[in-house]
Parts: sequence; C-alpha cells; structure tokens
Amino acid sequence: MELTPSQGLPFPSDEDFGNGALDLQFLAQTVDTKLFAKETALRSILYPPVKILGAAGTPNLSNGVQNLVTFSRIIQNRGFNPGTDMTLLQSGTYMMGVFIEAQCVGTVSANTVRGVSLSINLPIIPDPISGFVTQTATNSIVEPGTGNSLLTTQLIFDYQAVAGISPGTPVVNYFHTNTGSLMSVLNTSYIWLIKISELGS
Amino acid sequence: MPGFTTHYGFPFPHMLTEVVDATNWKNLSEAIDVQMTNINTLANQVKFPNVITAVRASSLALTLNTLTDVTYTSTEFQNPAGMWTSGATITIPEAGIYYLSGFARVTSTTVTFNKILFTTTGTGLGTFGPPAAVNHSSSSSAGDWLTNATCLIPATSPNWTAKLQVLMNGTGSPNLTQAGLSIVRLSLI
Repeated sequence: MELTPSQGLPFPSDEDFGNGALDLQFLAQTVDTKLFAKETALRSILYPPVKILGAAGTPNLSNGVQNLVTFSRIIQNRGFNPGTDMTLLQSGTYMMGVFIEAQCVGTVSANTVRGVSLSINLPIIPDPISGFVTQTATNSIVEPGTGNSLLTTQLIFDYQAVAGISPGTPVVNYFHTNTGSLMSVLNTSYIWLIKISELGS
Repeated sequence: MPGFTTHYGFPFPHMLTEVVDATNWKNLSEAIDVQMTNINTLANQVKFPNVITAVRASSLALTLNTLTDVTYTSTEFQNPAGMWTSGATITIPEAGIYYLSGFARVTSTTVTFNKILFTTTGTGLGTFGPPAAVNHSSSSSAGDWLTNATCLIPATSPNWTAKLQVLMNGTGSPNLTQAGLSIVRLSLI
C-alpha cells in the first residue's frame, strides 16, 4: 500500500496482493476521515465561541464615581461554560466589547460627561503565576439633555490557554458627572465576547 | 453486503464477498462528490462572509436635532451580495453575528453634541435590545466633526436591516460631508 504525497490517500503498490474491494475500502475510509477533519475545521471558523450577556439593569448610579455594571441575562452562549461565566476555554484571538444604554433620572445640566470602561485581567504567559496585566478600553462622551445615552467600547486581545488559569471576569464600569440627576443603566445594555481567529501558527 | 464509512457513509464493497466493478467506483465517487460539494460550500461561507461597505462621498444637509438617515448611491459601494438597492437601508439576508462600524463627518457652525446611530430591525432583535445604537459626541464648538462608532449584532433571523443615522444638536446649518457604514459577519448563529 502506498500513499499520495499531499493528502496521504492510499493506493495499491505493484507488490500488493490484489484485493480491489479492500483497496477501495481503505480509500473510502481515508477520504472520509480527511473530509471530516476539513469540515470540522471549517465549522469551527463559522461557529466560533461567542458569549453575549445582557445587563440586569442598574438604577440610580451616582455621579463622580465608577459604577460597576453587572450582566446576568444570557443572550448567546456557545463554546463557553454555562451561565454567566466568561472564562475562555479555547486559545485564540478574541474581540470583546460593551454597549451601554443609560437613561437620565431627572433634569441634567448641559455638557455632561458620560463614560464606560471595559477591562479584563489577562494572565502573563508563559508564567501566569507571576500575575496578570489588565487590558482596558474606554469611551466617553459629552452630551446634555434627558434622553437616553448610548455608549460602546471594545478591545481585542490574544489569549493563550493555560490549564487552570482563567483570564478573569470582564469588568464594566459606568461613569457620569450629571448635576442634579442620577443615571440608570438599562437592561438593553450588553457585553459580548467572540473568538475571531486562531493564534498564529 | 457493502460497508459504509463512519462519517459520511461512503459505500465500499465487502472485501470477501464482492468483486469490485465499475458500479462500486461510481457509487463511491458520487458519494465523495456530494460531500466535497458540501464542504466547498462551507469553505465559501468562511472565505466570503456577508459583507458590505457603503460610503457616502457627497454632501447631505442635516436638520438640527433630527435624526437623519445616511443615504447612498450605487457608485459608493462595495456590495458583492447586493444587500443594498436604494436609499439608506441595508438588508442582510442571513442570520448571524455581525460587526458594524460607521463614521460620519459633519461641518457645522456650532453644535453642542453630535451622534451617529446604527438602527436595526428584524425578528429576534427586539428581544436583544432597542434599535442597537452607539454614539460619540463632543462639546460645543464649530468646525469639522468626525464621529465613529462600532457595534455587535446577534441577528437570529435572516433579512434583518441596518441603517446609519446622524444627529447634530446645536445651532447653525450642519452639513454631512462624508459617511460610511461597514457590516461583516463574524459568525453563523
């Protein structure tokens, strides 16, 4: 039995005892295995790990301080642990972002700063025991009025999986400097995390 | 009694009771052909995700304090899948998780803030959130404003729509000079 040079497909050699049925079986099984591996790889790209969590809704956030926003509603969850756990189970390059819709509570003075920050602790590779680095993305706006405030921010990071080491839980903080008004983060807000590629070969 | 492979059921003759003939080859080749076609379809979905880039290069007058749709012309597009035909609305035919990015450049005398929005409609998006929207804005000044925004949309049903809107708040006569909306599928759903 010999094999083709690229894909390793079997074919009988000149010295093989003739059994066409067995040769055909080997070829069928090898092609089956090779194609299945290709399909699996393609599906892993078409259906990457993704997690989207909605906010529970947080009323009456104070001004002048960072307010922690929590997300408890599962919108999408594939390739992650159940529930709200956002631990990465696969290595790769990920994109993460947050969308915040907040509403003024009461009348606001003009030109009010509102901002959102998104951060995650990434273990130091290859020595995660030594600590972590915190990646952060921020976005802030200046807007008056009593309407809804809409903000996004995002970050992209590489993560190399290490057994037993989690990159930590993403942290979202909301900040505003309203005078005479609080802000409420609405339950239409969400955080998302999606794998966009494997790590470089 | 023929055998079949594990994953795709490719047929092959029994090694003791059957003699290979042309039909055995034909059956195996045809079965492989079907699966290779299916895998080619998957490969094309990976290589060519739904994508569109709509760019407006001509000016558009804005009404103060009013959301204005950014419209496009057929000469301002990368539109390989035909997801835009006219006006401001882009229709995405396939469910999936999409990444949206947009920008707008506006000249104005004085504004107090500006904003761009992605407004989406479609089955399933209603349970996801409001018209998914993002914005940036700035403090009062006159001049040339460049605003950008990004968003992730999990569209659970096909034929959802998206458009880019611009809002200027303040005084004067703002004029949109450039704008663009790009949409790319990151994942099937």
